[in-house]
Parts: sequence; structure tokens; C-alpha cells
Amino acid sequence: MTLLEFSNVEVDHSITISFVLHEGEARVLQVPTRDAEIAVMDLALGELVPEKGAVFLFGQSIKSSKPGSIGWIPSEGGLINNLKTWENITLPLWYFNGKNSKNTEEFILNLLPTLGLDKLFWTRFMASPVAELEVWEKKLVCLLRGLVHSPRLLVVSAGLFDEVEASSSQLWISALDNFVHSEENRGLLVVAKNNVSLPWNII
Amino acid sequence: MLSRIPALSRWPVRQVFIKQMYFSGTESIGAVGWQAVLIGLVVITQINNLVGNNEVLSIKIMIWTLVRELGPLLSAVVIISRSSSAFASELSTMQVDGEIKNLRRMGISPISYLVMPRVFAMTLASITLTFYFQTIAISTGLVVAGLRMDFSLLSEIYNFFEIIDFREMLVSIIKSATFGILIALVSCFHGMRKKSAMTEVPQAVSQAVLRSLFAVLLAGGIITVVGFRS
Repeated sequence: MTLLEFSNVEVDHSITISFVLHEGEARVLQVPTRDAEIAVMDLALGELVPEKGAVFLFGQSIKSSKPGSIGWIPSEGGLINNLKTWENITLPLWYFNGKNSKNTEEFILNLLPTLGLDKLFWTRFMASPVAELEVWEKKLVCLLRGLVHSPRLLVVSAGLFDEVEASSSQLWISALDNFVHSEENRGLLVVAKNNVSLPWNII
Repeated sequence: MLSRIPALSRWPVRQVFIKQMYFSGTESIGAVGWQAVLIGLVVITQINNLVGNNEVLSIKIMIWTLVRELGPLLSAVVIISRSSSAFASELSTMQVDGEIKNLRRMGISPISYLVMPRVFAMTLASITLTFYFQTIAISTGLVVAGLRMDFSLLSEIYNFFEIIDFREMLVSIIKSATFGILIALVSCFHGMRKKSAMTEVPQAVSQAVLRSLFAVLLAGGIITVVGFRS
């Protein structure tokens, strides 16, 4: 089944994009500028309406799709500063799917080793206000928020992997790969400015 | 706004509601309490100076001033001074930092998540604080009148419940609820309005405070005229 379709969508008044992302696929879309990257992500998330062309989510108009069915992992930021790290991570999950502290904690505790983190780091990290976090930690919060939310489609900015140690970057890529392949109906769209070296097929 | 009420069943929205209830309501208890004691003292002193040793008339005037007007109004003033500025500055900062846009990108409605719980929390806080203010101010008034004029406290309490009627209570509740809704809506409106720089945040805050006060005075005037037509 089709997860996301861009049909002759004009982006940033300069390029026209058409592609189809199916269930079980993880693909990279390369665009020439940072503005185009943001515009593509906003179009996919339904935050922007295309001036030309059309965007379909799960085969229907993006406006008629169920809120919360797409997850968003920005390059950095994208966090709510007056919430603690833990509240940021659980915000979309608990907003759309209801609160279940035990399951969420278990899920995250299982996820931590795959991201190279230990429980001590986690305890300190989760209680901190996000404003006190370093850049790579903010990126990690965004990643965790997307993975914990577990939507059918994740839209990720390739900038997530910038300024992150190569070893961490590899772990994060594996975690995203696991996300896509852990269930049949999931997909991953990575939006990149210019050429990037990521393990997924380029659109 | 009413169509957003079901969003209160979502945990993060409820959490915002609880935080705002605590901030606008619980944390205002001290300020409202002291204000109520002082206002009760001042009002009953002036009433006694005006009507002398007339217990029933003293209580009647006290109900008119404290229940009908000053209770809802002064509670609203405390709420405006604390919460209106806080709402406007918090939401303005979120707007400038792009956090409101980020919420929409996550599919979370800023109206359901940020505005609706604030409006409900402030409305509930306004009703509760007004009742609290009136209770303390009237109790102070009755005690002070008893001491100054040698009235029996029991007789004062009996007369108070004889004189106060349902319409007075109802209009007071309507006023305080209206004030809460108006203050929250005006503050959230100024907070959520599009801004391009941090320098616009203080402007939004001062506009929120001034316009909230104006809205409260205007609504108070209208409700008094409509509610107490003779």
C-alpha cells in the first residue's frame, strides 16, 4: 500500500517533485536547498498546502488523514522548551494514543542499549529541561520522540546525523532501520539537502 | 472552543490544565486572601461610617459591594496581574521560537493543547478565587462590624443569609466565569499572534494585560446593568 505520494508538487517555486513511498520502504529524497528541505517536510506533514500538484497520505488527501499518523524527526530543535525531556519524548505518543507510563518506560529501556545509552545517563537526561541539553542530546530527544511515537510513517531530516559522532550516527541509522522493518506497514522518508551518504535508496 | 473539550481526555492536555489551575488558582490564594481581608476591612469601615449602627443596612451594602462587584472584579485583577502576563509571554516566546509551528508539525492542535486548557483552568480559577475572596472579605467585614458596632456575630450571620438571594450568587458566578474566559482568551490571542522577533514579546504582554482589564470592566458593566435591572 502507498504511504506517501507527491504528485507533481512544486517546492520552493523552483523544483517539481513526484514520488511514491510504499509500506516497508525507507528512502532518501534529496533537494537542493535548506528551504526546499523544510518545505518538503512541511508538505509531507500537512503543515503546508502545495500550490501546484497534490500530496496523498495513505492514498487519501493529507488533510483528511488521521492526525498523529506521521512522525517528525527534525535536524535539531523541534522541542517544547517548557517541557522536560521525558515530557517532550512522550508528548505525541500520549497525545494521540493515551498515557501508558509502564509500557512507554519499558519500550524506551529496551531502546536505550540499541542507541548506545546506559540507564544512568538516561536518568539524568530525562529529568532535564530541554533547554539545558547539548545539540546532539536534543537530536537524540527528537529521535526518541519519533521512535516512541511509532507512527506508520516517519519523516526525518538528514540534518539529524550532522555533528553527531560517527558511531552514534550508525546506531541511530540502525534504530530507524529497525523501526521500518519491525512492522510491515511502516515507512521512512529522509529528506536531505544535497548529497548525503545514507544507507537507504535515493528517490 | 467548546468542540475542543474532548481533548481534555488526552493526558498532555490534562497536564497543561492541571499546571494552569495550580498557577492561576492555587498560587493566587495568598494574594487574593490578603486582598480580601483588607478590602473587607475598608468596605465595612466606610459602610459603618455611612449608615452608623444599622446592622441590616450594613450587611445589605456589604453584599452589594463585595458579592455583586468587588469580589469578581478584584479576583480578576489578581488573575490579570499574575496569569494574563504569564500566558501572553509564554505563548509569545513559543510563537517566536517556532514551537507552536512544531506542535502543528507533530499533528497537535495548538488550540486544543495550549489555549483550551488555559481557558478552562482560568475560568475555574476565577470562579473559585471569587468565592474565596467573597468568603474572606465578608467574614472580615462581619467580624469588624461586630467589634466596632457591638453587633452580635450570630445575628449578623443570620441576617446575611436572610438578605443574600440566589440572583446575587448567580450573577457573581456568571461574572467570574465571564471574566475568566475573557482574560484567558485575550491573553492567549495576544500570545498566539504571529511575531517575528523577541522584541515583540513585551508589547504582546502589555497589550494582553491592558485589554484583559478593559474586557473585564466592560463585561462587568454589562452584566451589572443586565443582571440587576430594577
